Amino acid sequence: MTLRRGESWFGERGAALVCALMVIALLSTLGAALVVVVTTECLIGANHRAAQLGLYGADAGVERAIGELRRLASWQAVPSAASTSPDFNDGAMAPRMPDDTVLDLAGLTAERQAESDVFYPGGPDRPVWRLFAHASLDRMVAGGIGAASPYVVVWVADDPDDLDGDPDRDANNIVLVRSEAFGVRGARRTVEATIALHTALDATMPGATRSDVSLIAWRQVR
Amino acid sequence: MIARVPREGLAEPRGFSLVEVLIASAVSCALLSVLLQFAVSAQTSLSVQADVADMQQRLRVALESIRHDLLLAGAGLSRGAARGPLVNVFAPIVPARLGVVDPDPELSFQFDRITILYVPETRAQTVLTADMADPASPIPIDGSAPGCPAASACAFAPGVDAVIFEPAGAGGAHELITVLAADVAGNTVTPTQPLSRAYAARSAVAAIVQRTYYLDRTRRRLMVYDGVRSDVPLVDHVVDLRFAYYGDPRAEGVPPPPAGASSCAFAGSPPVPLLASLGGTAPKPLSDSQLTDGPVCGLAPNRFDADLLRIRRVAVTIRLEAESAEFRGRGSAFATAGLSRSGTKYVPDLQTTIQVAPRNMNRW
Repeated sequence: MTLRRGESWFGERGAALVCALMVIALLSTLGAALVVVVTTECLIGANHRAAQLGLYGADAGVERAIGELRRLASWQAVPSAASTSPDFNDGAMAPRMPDDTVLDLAGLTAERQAESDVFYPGGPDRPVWRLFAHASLDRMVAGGIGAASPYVVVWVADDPDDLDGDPDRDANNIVLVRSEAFGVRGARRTVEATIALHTALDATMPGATRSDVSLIAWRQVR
Repeated sequence: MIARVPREGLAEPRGFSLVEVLIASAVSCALLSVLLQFAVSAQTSLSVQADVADMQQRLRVALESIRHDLLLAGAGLSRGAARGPLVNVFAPIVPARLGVVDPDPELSFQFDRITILYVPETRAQTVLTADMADPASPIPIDGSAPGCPAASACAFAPGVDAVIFEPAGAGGAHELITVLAADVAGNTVTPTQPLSRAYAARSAVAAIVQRTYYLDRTRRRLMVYDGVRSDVPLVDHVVDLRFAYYGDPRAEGVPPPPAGASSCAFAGSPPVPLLASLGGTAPKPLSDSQLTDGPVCGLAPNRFDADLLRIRRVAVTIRLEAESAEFRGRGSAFATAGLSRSGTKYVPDLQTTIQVAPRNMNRW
């Protein structure tokens, strides 16, 4: 038997190569599918976490507003433009989010007003929404939450039932509070509450009055 | 004649001996079996991970749905004279199935069922302008109440589910209806079925959301019922579902009646609480007997135990199993035995407990 130029006695090496390539291809496909499954699950988990953090952030915004409004003896001026939270307020009208997007609070307020105007019939008592508080949730939590901390925006408005014809002035100690939390990956959660102020004589201090806030309705809107 | 001279570096052409072939085959088989082991192991991991991910997704869906409704439980009217949480009037969380189709008896307790009621963000909320003539007559509503859209029967329309209830301190009757027709000109709403009684003027009526979550043990499904028409499967392969209730331990921990009125939880003037004090201030577990032994509130056929009004927290325990029997084994980790005999195909049941404080039942 004669060997021609370029021929090898070890031609069977080709079969091993083909086998190896097939196994590698199979393993790579399975590995890639596994990576996709795990990555997807991680993303879903992260989105879920951001959404949960947003919901609790929005809820915390309402609670914070209630805590600050409880200190007031009267809510007459709460719906006015001058009413803002003394503590939970970073003063920025274009705050930067954890994922570097920038919030336009003036635009969001206009958006809130437009939505409200669709829901509530027109008239002198329709709610006019004012920015009451806005800051990162980090400011509310001892030790902070970290990079994923949502940004919380709270608006207040006079409830439309006091029928005083002035949306900038409360006449029945009932106001609307809306809190939105903006988190990473576009997470956005909204809670709206209708709250009432009750003032009664303080049984522990003769002559003094005591304010308390009751919840008329709490709703997760988004 | 030209002599054949083997080229340098090439072996002499000769065949393989049987021993060489056998050794080569054995080595090849060994290598291939190792590689196939890798392939099988990778394929198993992929299947198991997909099943685990699916189970976690189903758990999220189930818990998020229940959590959402529990958070909103008891949200009442936000406008008008009847505004306030539903807990001022009736129990918005009931450990039983309520509704038109196959309801549980009044005052019953089912550990794997919960009914949640709340008024959604809606303009359909108003009061009755006059007494109903009889239980089957149309309900006269105030179509111009604050918040009602003009010329719309206060946004009530056919198919809308609604609740009608007497004002707090006026007897405590309430029931759920489905609107059959709404007369815009006459401002009346006609329910699909006659009511249990004729409601008086100033009774409230509002759109409502009712959700009953329960476990279909035969089909191993988490089901949700809307109180009227349909039972819908929400999540498959759910093998256990339990609800536990925690309440305000104070005897006066339920909404008091309006001044001058009494309620099922208070008697006399000034009102004295009828509920037993459970001691302390932190929420205490409420047993099934505590939630069914009275005092009884409301009027038939919608009576309920007064202790339901003191609920402040609900614990939800849910257990899911892997979808494929191939990944389920035997033993206490599996509610339903499967076929798995291998540790690599072992996906035990996933059980989680969450506790939810219904926001509208914690500050009234």
